[in-house]
Amino acid sequence: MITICVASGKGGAGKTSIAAALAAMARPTCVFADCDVDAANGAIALGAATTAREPYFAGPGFMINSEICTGCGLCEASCRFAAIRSEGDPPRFMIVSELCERCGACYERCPIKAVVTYEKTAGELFVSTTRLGIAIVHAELVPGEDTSGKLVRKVRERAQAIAGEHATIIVDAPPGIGCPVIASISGCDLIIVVVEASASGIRDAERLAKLIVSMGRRTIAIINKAGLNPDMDARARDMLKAMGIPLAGEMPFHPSLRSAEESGETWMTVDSVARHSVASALRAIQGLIDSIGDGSRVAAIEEEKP
Amino acid sequence: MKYALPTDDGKTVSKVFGRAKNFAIYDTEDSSYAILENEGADSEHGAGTGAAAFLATMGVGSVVVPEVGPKAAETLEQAGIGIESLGTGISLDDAIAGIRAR
Repeated sequence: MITICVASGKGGAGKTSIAAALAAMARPTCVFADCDVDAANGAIALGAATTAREPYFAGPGFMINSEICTGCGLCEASCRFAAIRSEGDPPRFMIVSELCERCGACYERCPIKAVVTYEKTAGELFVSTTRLGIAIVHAELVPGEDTSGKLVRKVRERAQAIAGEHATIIVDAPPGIGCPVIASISGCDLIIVVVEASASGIRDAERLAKLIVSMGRRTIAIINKAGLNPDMDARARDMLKAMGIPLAGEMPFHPSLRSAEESGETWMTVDSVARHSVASALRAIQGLIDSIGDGSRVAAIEEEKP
Repeated sequence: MKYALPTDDGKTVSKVFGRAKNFAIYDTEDSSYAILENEGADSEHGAGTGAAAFLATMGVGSVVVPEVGPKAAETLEQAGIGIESLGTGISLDDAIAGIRAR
């Protein structure tokens, strides 16, 4: 089993598009793990139909048992988020779940244990099949929930359980460099950094690169949306060189790539001038995967069309 | 000195640090060996820093692990715990034999 993570720092840099192209190349022995759990769109890119779903419990929720509450108000005084409201006289206290940060201060403070815990659903985990014939594991958080590091771990564990011994797991990471990204990168055999050839794209990719280097992960980069501004392309290459990250290739900013997605295809099937760039970058990535040498193969890359 | 090695299955060194299910603790003083559950493995967030703090309270002097996240590394450093890296997929027995052979 080999795990490849696609990350970028900046959102909208092309992570999911490149991850989907890799998945198309790696089928049928591939499982797609969409770890962008705050805004998952791998299922859209791959045309998924959900086959299994299960609730995701982040941690305990809190509520007040009105049968035993004496109305002392210590819970309200202990809440830093003004999530506890009272009604009536004598007051009856209740926790507004949308405002509750689940810190547990009221639970600790209540002298008669009238604050009780319950299993709060924070999201849902899905296993779906895609039109590429591969499985995708994805998830959705309930708005306002912030437990994405743990949910990323659950998505990856489920993908590992589905994947066979010689399968490739493609991890589509969220943007940023925080908890859910670290949970996406950790333990991966290869990280593909997607650098959008723009000022913010380069800066965010550089911050991500520093994180990856600090974790000692094997890394290769793709510059996306190249050719719009030669100066930006050069800056992206210079940044990667300074960070010591090899470049697999550059994807042009080409209308055919956009229309491929609009018609539900991956970049692997693009039949245009852009195909050469896509195939050449994916071939470089394949070479690196081969050098990891655990016997897994992403796939044979089709011969280029003349 | 006490060494901590993350492990999910109790047989091989885990690829990850903070969300490993257990820590194997090997003490070179008396050659004792124990597997302790990492209660923070399922944390919503802060798994790495939590694991580092836990190992600090256990008096661990060094962790032996394929990778450590940036915040966990900072916490380990502040606690005076060394970080030694090793490759992935290595058995606990081999890793501990490596420590013992020093």
